[in-house]
Amino acid sequence: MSLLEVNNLNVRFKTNDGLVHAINHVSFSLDKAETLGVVGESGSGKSQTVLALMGLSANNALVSGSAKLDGKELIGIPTKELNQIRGNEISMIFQDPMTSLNPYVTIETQLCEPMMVHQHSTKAQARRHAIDMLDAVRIPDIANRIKLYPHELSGGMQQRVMVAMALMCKPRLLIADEPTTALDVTVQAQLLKLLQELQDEFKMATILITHDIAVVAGACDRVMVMYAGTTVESAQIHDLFANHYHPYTSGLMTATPRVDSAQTKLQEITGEPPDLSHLPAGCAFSPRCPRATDICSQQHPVLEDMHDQNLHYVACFHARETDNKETLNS
Amino acid sequence: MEKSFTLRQKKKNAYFLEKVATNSYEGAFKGRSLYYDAWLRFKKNRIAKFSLVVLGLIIVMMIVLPWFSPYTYAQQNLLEVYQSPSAKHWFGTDSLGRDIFTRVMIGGRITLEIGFVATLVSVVIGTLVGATAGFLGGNVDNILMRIVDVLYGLPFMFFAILLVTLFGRNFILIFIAIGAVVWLDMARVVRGQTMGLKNRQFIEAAHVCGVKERVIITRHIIRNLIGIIAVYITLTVPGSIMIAVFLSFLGLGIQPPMTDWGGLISDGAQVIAFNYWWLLLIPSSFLTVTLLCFNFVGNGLRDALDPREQH
Repeated sequence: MSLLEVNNLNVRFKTNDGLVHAINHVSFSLDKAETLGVVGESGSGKSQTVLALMGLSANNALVSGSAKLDGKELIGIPTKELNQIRGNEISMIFQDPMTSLNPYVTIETQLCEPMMVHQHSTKAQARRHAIDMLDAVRIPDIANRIKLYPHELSGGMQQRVMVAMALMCKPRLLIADEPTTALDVTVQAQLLKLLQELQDEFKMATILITHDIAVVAGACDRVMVMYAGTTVESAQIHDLFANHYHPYTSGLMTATPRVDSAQTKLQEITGEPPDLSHLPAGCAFSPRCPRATDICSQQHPVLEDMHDQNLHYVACFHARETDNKETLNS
Repeated sequence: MEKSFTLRQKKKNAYFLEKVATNSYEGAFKGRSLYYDAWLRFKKNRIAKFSLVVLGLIIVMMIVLPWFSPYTYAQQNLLEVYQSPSAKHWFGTDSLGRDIFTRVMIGGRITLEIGFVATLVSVVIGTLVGATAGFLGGNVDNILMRIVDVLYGLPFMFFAILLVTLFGRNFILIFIAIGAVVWLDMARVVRGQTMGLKNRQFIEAAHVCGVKERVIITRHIIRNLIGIIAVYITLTVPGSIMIAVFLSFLGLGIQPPMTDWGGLISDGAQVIAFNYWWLLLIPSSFLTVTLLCFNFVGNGLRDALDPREQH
């Protein structure tokens, strides 16, 4: 049985302009020690998906569907029960480390907090463990730095502290919400490498959210491409780079700069993401899609297995008609 | 910077390296908190620092000097009425021959006591109500803030007079009357700040760690509010002192022969036509200096805590 099983997850926001459909029928599963990359542009629902899992959706959100961690339902359970899971079995790393740490509290106290909350350990035990964890995230000379305040560390260090904090209770699932976006490229590479090493060491599953497809390529086992709150393509990482069927995935690929080609101008995906409160009747991508036909604007495509060697799901009516090479040249 | 690499620094570094080697963390680099930074900035502000010293002196004076005074605040001497300041009576005497120096000190005790206790009460109630309302939002926020609104709408003087006529003049009543007024501002300020704070990512991170809401409020929200609360305290103390003085001036405050600065100023104002200047001038100067100092300290604190807004 897989570790995390998400089934038909929906998140809607009640606003003055009506319902905003942020997440629509998202399903996926995650095995132990597997890394799932979630890609998509801003507003595609990547973050909202995991926030819903953590019970952190905004007050005006309506969350439905099911998400089971080891068979235990996460959606709709009381905060008290959720608090026993959050930080203990699921942890999360945020995008911006500078704002994710309380500026007035030493990193020692902040690191000790999850462990003292969940395992009722003493401050001394927690502190010893915190030092171990900070050592694991490779902060040099940590024993002497544990009493520093967040603003006295660099951005990369702060993000390492965040990672250490997330790992304090040895979670089974780590959610990293764009963990490298606020960091520069060299630090980004270090952090991704670190995350992978830690994942092997602690045997935990990871959901890595990013809008950078290059990050996914280096760090993930499986990829889920999201657009306008729906999954459009989901595949093993190698399969996806070899064969991507959905035009949106192709668009993302061509919009990524490559070192090995002499391309001077990047191809963009024309148009804008749809207004989530007024989604098109059919496929959400159809207004921007080069292959769109009548059926696309009338019916919702469902995820279908493309029967490659591994499971490869695509939600597109025209997935079989063309392969990625054609769109690349078009 | 070159200076820091003295022999002492080198020794210190060696000491730290040894600490690392033995893997002990006690005596590790102590981080410098943002509040400590603010304190360093505050110390650079001369007016604020001077005001703080003056305030400290006034408070110590009020506490200590009455013990050494040969007179008590209520001791009358009808042979020595309306004496101007002299070596025997430093601040002169009043219509009943009471020593004004002793009375100013004892009155100052009462006035400052009211100021500080009322502020303490307002900080406790105001912070808890404000932080809870701001953090939980929704109906809790609505109910708490409507209570605050209703209390705001209460005409203060009417409320004070009502209390005095119903229960007589009483020390505790003054606390209640002032306390009921000053915590409202604190609650509003804290609520506003909390609403800003609760959407910050580290609060979300605390949620993610599974920390209880009560603990998030006390550990993360309030700790971030300490600065703004400190600034507000320096406004609330003089505010409550003003209210207390005002009540006493109107005769609604402390019961004679006990007195406070308001009562003394009131006494002095009645005889100003007869040139007994010391009766009015001395207590008013104490009051003015105290209030002024509080304001300077508050200003300094605000600048220190928010260096970006300094002009």
